[in-house]
Amino acid sequence: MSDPFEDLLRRWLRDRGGTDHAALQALAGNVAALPPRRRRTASPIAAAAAVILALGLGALALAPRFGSAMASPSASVPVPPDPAAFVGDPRLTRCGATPETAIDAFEMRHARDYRLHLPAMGLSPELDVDGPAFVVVYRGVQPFATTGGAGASGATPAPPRATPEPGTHDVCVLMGPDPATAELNVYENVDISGLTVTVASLESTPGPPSVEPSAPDVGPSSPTPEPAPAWAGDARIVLECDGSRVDLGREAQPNPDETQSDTPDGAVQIMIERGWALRLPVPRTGLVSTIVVDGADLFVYRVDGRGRVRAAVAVVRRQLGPDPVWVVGSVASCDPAEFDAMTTSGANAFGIWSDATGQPVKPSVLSATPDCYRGTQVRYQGRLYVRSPYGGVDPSQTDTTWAANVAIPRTAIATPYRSGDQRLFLAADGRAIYVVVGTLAERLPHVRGEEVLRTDCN
Amino acid sequence: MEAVLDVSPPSLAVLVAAARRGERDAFRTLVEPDLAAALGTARIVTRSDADASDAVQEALLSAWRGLDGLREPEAFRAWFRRHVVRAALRAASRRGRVVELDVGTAAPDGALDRAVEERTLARAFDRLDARDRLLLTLHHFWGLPIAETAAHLGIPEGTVKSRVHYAMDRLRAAFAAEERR
Repeated sequence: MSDPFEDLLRRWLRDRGGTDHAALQALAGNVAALPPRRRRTASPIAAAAAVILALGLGALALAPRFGSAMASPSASVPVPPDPAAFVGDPRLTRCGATPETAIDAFEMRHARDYRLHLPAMGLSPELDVDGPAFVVVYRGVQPFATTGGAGASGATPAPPRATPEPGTHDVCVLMGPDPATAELNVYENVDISGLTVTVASLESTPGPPSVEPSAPDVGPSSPTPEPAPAWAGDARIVLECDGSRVDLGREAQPNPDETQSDTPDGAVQIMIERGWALRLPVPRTGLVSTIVVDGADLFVYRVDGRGRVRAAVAVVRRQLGPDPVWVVGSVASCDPAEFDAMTTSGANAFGIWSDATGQPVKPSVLSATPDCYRGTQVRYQGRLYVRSPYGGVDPSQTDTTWAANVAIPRTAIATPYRSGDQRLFLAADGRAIYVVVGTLAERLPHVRGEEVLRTDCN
Repeated sequence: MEAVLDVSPPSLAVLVAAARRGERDAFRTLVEPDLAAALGTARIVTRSDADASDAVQEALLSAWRGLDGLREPEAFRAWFRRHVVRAALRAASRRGRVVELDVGTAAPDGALDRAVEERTLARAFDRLDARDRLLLTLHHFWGLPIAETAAHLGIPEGTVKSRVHYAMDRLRAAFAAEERR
C-alpha cells in the first residue's frame, strides 16, 4: 500500500533533483575537456617471491603470540541467549524484535568480538569497535524490509524475502551503550553456527610475545590445515606496540570489496595504490607476508620495528564465485613513531629525519606524502621532489629522472639532515635531492610546478 | 540484396576499452545515461547547485582517471555511481549546513497546500545529516537496488534497510516538528 508521506518525499525529491538541462549540458561538455589519460604501467610486486618464502616460517613464530593474546581473557557477562531474558529491553525494540521473533539475544562486551561469538559470520569491519554491542538473531527475516522506490535509475526493487537462505539467519547488532543512540547494523543470511555467548575477549593491545619472534629453523613446510580461528581477519591481534595502537576508525578501513585480487599481495597492492594507505599510518614499504594458519584463508602482512610487529594488514580469502579472491580484511598499526626510520607510511612517507643536533626536522623544511604507484612526494625547502620507483610520472614533469643507485655528484651539497644511516644531499643546480647511504645515492628529481600529476591514480 | 547495417550500440566493454585509450566520446557515452540522476542526487545531498555540479565534475574526473581500476567493464555504471556518491558526500561534508537551494519554489500547479507541505518537507529534509540524506536519495530518488546502495556505503544490505527505515522515522519526526513551528 502506498504511503502518502513516502509519495510526498519521492515527489519532492523528483522536483528537487530535477534535471537542470543547462548544468547537464555543461557537465557533458566538460567531458571533452578532461585531461589526457596516461596508461597505467604494471606495478611489479617486488616482494612476491619473498612472500612465498616467508610462508610457514612466520606461522610458527606468530602462532604462540596469538595464543598469548587469546589467553588474556576479559570475561564477557554470562547472560543466557534466550530472548525472553530481554523482555522490555529497549535494545530488543531497536532491533525490531520481540522474544517471539528472536531465537537468540545476547550482549557482547566489545563489538569487535563478533567473530568470537559468531565464528562463521563474514568479516564486518563496521563492527570493529571497542564499545559494547547487543546481538539479536531473528527467527525469520529481519523486520526492516523497505518498500523501495521507482527512481531515476528505473531499477526494479528486489522482491522481499520470505525466509533467510537455508541454514542462515538474519542478525541485528546494536553498537553502543545507549539503546537510543546505538548504531544499528542488520545482516541477512548469516551462518550462526558455533554461536557462543561467553567468550574470552581479545584485548586491544596484546602484551609482549611470550615467545621470541625469531624464525624457527624449519623449511617452508605445509602445516596441517586448520579451521579459521575466530579472530581471523583482525589485524590488531598481531600488533606488539610499545604504546597504544592507533585507532584507525571504521571509516579508515578499506572496503574489502574494493581490494579483490587473485593473490594476497595483489590485495595489499590494491589497498596501497587506491589510496587507503595514504590516509593511514600503515607502512607502504617493508610489508612481509606471513601465512598464519594454512587453510585458514588468512595472510597477515606485517611490518616489524625494533623486533616487534608494529603494523599489520590482514588479507582473507573469499569464495565469491568459482575462483577464490583475496581481500583486505583489516589494517592495524602502532604509533608510526614505533616504525623503523626507513619505513614509509601514510603518516611517515619518507622516514624520520633529524638535524645535526638530533632534533626532528620541521615539516616546513622537509616533509613527504605518499601517492599512488607506491611513490612519495617529498617537499624540501619549499620545492617538490618525487620518489617514483614504480614509474607513473611523466618525465616532462621532472628536471631529471628517479634512480635507485647512482654516484653522488661531486658538486652535491650536504645538508645537515639524517635518517639512520641516510644523509640528505641537494644537487648544486637544485634539479634533484639525493638520499645517500655510503657511496651510493637514490636520486629524487625535482618536479616542475606545484604537484605531481599522476592521472591514473584513483 | 539488402545490405545489413549493424547499428547496434557498442557494448560497455568496447566503450570502456575506448575510454581507457583516452577517447573522451566513449567516456561521454558511458556516463551520459547516469548524468541527470547523478546531478540530481548531488543537488539533493549537497543542497547547492554549484556544489552539485562540482561534485559530479569531480566524479567524472576521478572516474576518468581511475578507469584502469575498473575490473569489470560491465559494472561501469555502478562503478561510476560510486564515484558520484563519494563526491557528493565529500561536497556535502565540505559545505556543512549551508543551504542555497530555493526551497520556497511553489508547486507547479500552484496548489498552496502542496507548496506548504513541500516547503515543510524541505526544511525537515535539511535537518537530516548527510548520511541520511544520501541514503534516502539513493533509495527514493535514484532508486538504486539495496545491494548497490550497500556497496556504495560499505554497509550490509540489511543495514541499508534498517537505516532507510530509521532515516524515514527521523524525517517524519522532523516533518512533524517543522509543521508545529
